[in-house]
Amino acid sequence: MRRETIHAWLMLLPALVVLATFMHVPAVETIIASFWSTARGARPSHFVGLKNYERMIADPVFWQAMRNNLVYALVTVPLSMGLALVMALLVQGRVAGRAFLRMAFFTPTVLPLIAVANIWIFFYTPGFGLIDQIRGLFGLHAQNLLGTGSTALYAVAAVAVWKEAGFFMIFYLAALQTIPTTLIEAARLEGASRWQIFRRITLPMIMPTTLFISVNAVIDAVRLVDHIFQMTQGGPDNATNILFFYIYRVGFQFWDTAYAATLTVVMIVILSLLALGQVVLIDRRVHYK
Amino acid sequence: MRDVAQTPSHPPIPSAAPGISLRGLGKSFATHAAVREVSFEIPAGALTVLLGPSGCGKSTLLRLIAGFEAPTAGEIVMAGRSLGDLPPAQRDIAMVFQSYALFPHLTVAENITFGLSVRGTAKAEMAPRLARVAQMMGLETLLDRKPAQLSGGQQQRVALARAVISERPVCLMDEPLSNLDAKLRAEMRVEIRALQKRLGLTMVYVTHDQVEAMTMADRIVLMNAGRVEQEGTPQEIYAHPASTFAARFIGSPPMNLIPTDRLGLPGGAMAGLRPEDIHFAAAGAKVTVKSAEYLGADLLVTLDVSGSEAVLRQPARAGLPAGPDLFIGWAPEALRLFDAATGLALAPGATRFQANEAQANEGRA
Repeated sequence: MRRETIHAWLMLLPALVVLATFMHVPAVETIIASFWSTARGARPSHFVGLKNYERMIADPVFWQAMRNNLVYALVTVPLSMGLALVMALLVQGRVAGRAFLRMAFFTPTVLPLIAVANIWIFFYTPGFGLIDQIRGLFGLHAQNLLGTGSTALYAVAAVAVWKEAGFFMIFYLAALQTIPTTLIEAARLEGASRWQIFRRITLPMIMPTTLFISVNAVIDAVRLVDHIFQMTQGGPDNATNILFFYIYRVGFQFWDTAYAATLTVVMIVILSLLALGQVVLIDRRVHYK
Repeated sequence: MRDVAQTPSHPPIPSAAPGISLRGLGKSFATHAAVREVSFEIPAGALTVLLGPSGCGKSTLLRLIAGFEAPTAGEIVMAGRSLGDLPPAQRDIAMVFQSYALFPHLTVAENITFGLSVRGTAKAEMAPRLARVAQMMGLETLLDRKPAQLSGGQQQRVALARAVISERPVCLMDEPLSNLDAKLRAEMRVEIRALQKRLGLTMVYVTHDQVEAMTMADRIVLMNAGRVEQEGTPQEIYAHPASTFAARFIGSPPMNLIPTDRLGLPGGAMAGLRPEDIHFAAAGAKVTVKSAEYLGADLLVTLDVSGSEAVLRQPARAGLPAGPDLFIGWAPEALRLFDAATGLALAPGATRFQANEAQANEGRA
């Protein structure tokens, strides 16, 4: 018995060490750090209680980053998921060039987000970028989509959608393939239209996948900021400054690590609540076989 | 389109179940022909079994009738009109799938009423129909369950209920009992047959199990390699198999096939004798006993007839005869003769002489 316990711990040890070193300890340290001040030169770090949090609540950039992030999520999550489902439905059946289409849809996923950002910078370049060239064909004037406050956030969101949809498509495709064809045939025999089959059979049956993808999409809406570094640096005037990007700036450009830790704690709490909410809420309506 | 939901809900008997005729039906896939030149009549209000080994094309034939596949030759005529490329939903056909094809995310009640609901049947009409069918199939207490919470037999009943509630006059069944254990299968055989009779359905039933075919069918269509080997009532096929294939496929144990010369008959043909048609005798063809299988009422005795194996069925209480020299006899009218080369039956009730003559004619041709 005792020997078995030791064996069990030995087997757990490698994973435990890695998880503790890179996840649990830093997480706890982050929470602790959020209650302390940032060490500056001669002044060592000291306990400040909730001061960092008070500062955060009074910080307009924080609130703008939160608002931006909300919009960013509201755009990227439904769009990337919807697009993924449409693409999966498109390439699951007998379509000419199915293999090519699948590959084409998946390609953006393979590219690093930094590379994707560079491609899209060319698309967005005012005057001679792809988008303005197309606009030019219709006699529309050139536009600086990335440089305009009202459009910049949507412009970077579009990049994320383009990058994510192909990845989510793979999951939807796998889910669609597991639906037995006899179910579809049975529904067809009963006189169900294509839309009814989709709405009443396909959609409920891929719900577990939808839940999985939605959790990932929400996390990615917070996490995917690489292209913002490349494309806008959070500008113009914080228009594309989303929470994670703001944390990076505070932590590694302003070196205000305590405040960055505070922001991180908030981000983690929000993410946890979202994931929990999704699982609890949607779980009731998901059918698992 | 004819919407069956519009027909009066009482009684649940389809007004006039149509017959179906298949005319020169063929279905070829890229690499092979699954169904070739199939023509036969499916009588109205009767249970027709498509019987055959796996890969004989019986399921493809059913899918052609349902409209899931388009024939590459021939046509299907139902109630006087050619079905052509009419989509499955408009053929007035219900179907029970081998896997049941129950929607796993819907309750039993939702599964049963799925068709009514997609066809826009009023809720007020749906409820009494559901109640009646649920009661008929013994599902009243299970209506709120999901399919995964049901036993195989209950799932089967839900699949049947879904077919019945549509009140469509034709019902196709694709090996509906193959996923059930032996005892349940025997019960469901009786139930399905009773249901078919009660509702007067035209039922096309696909199976590879000859016991199912024999016990349930009004007519059996025996298929082999995409063609119709023989069709007729179970009695006809059992008594007069059209070929050695039919002789061996129907009957358990199957018909004994013994070269005629080993039975002391003029040679060159195959003699077919059902196990119950041979008996131990004082004289006749000499045999040795290889083994005996006790079945309670019956005893199955495996014999060696000059090198051919044969099975004899007799009442168990008669016991095995003693003695080293054993002989078998048979009722002459039970003897069937088959062409040794083609396996086809020689004229029914052919005498030894006729058999010889047929053989001689064959030789000359």
